Amino acid sequence: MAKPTVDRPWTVGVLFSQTGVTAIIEQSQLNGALLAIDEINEAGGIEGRPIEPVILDPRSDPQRYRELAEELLAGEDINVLFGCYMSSSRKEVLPVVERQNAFLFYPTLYEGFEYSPNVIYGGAAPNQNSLPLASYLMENYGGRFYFVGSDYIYPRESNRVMRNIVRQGGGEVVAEEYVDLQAGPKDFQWILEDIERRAPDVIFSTVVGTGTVNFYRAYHESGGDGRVRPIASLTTNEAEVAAMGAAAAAGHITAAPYFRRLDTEANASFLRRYHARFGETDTVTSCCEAAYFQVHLFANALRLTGTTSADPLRRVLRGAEFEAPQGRVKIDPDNNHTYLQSRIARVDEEGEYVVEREATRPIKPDPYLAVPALNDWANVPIRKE
Amino acid sequence: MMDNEDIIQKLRGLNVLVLHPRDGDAEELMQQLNRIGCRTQAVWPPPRVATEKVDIAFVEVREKPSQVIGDFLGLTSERPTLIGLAGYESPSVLQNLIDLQVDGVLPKPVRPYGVLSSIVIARRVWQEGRANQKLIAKLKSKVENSQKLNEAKMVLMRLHGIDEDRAYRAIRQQAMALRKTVTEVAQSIIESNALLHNVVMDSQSDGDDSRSADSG
Repeated sequence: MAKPTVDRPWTVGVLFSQTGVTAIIEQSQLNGALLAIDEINEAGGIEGRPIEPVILDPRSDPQRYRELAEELLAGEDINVLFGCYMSSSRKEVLPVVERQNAFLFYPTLYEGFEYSPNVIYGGAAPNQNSLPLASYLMENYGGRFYFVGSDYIYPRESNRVMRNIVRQGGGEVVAEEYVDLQAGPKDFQWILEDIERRAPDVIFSTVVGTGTVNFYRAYHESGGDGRVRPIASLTTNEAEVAAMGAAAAAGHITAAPYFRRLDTEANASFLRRYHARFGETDTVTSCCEAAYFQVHLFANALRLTGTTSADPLRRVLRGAEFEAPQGRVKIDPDNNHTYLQSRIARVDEEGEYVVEREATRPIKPDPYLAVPALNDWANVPIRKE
Repeated sequence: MMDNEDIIQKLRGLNVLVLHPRDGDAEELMQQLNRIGCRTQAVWPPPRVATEKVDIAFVEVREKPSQVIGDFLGLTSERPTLIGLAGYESPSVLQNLIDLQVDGVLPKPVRPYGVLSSIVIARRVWQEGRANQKLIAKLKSKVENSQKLNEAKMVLMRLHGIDEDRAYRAIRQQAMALRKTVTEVAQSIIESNALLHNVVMDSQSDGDDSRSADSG
């Protein structure tokens, strides 16, 4: 917005929770963003000026995201934000960003049905993750699904999409249950008993945050075995698996554009640098990778515009590509979402995600797909491991 | 409930026509319609001949009624779902929204957010209106048919001195024999009765006339 002076850094706002229910995953996103910022600065910055993040902790409270976004954008320096995990927090930040004609980079999968000219969506839309996951599960485990979710907008919308796909494939949803976002281990007891009673082929979980660790652990302790009846998810990730332990995680399934164990050169060097910066790679997740490549996409755009004003940035971001750890990604000029890889992986005995199936090329995002057909994904060639 | 599901599920198959001068608002609307995945076409000025089937028409609504839009809507055999694009909330604009009988309104400047809601709500209003019209037409003809049947039964009962049940069975048998509907037979009976009645009445009044002429 403001004309930056030559000696000052490019300041960007970073809103990832370091405390509260979604701290594990958002800390992972924060790390991804910080790694990219370090890389850019070590390479000399943009026009000789470094990128400087102003990092605030919204404590997993949607209201707090709005307040902090307002605070960050109130000054002259900041016009670009990286942040948000839960849809409820993005919805809070969105009007603030639009009002100021600022920019939000949102590195998280979500339920779709949104477009803002002021947001770049870096995570998967349902056509990029729900569809492939549903067909994989029905082929390999059967058509009787049990839905468990945290009670907010993403799980409900995500389940609506999943229900449509399952029905189209001739399967059935035997139950759809929700728990509080703050759910502790005991809150899953009655659901686990119900699962035992109804004996579904697969459990589809849209439980997010610390609830995820609690749910998988409680399932394991109640005798549930992921190798026999897996919990499938779009959000459960490496960091949460590390937190719950390999025993509780084994056999469970996640669909995402990126997994830590991808065997590519870009990923190997990404993991090396991540390890050098943070001393571990336990917290590397698909959302971390999305935050990482979104910062790079922003930096590349900034090189072309020389300003953080939204209008010029938008012009160069649309259609922009980047060789990310997951493979090549591209911002779709039609809808500000991202062409992403689509992969399905299963946790092995050591607690590592192993890719079972992947699309052979990035999938175009279709955020307004109301009635996904099972075969919508079928026109993309699939590689089975 | 079922109908509501239907509206969302059928969004992508809809033919959408945008009747609005080519400007930033029309552009913004077209882009969002494409994101949603509707089959979208923008035409300005409005076509002078009927186009292929239009499910939803977004139309510009201003302070004075638009002749060209009115003419275009006159061409369509089935009225599409109408959504007004209005930049003002002044009484004359509001009156035109009422007169055009729009099913929904999308305020200008157009933002991507809100387009989908306006379509879904307008579609519901339009479907409901259409369903109500069909229902009213059906009920109306039911009432008329039942009136006709009653009248025909009365005729037969008077003429042949039979009870209502037999009168009804007689009409139904005729209908089956002639491969007609009960209502059609009832109609014939009523008309025949009226004809007979008129012939008798007319001949009586003819006689009266001749007598009076004679006496004159």
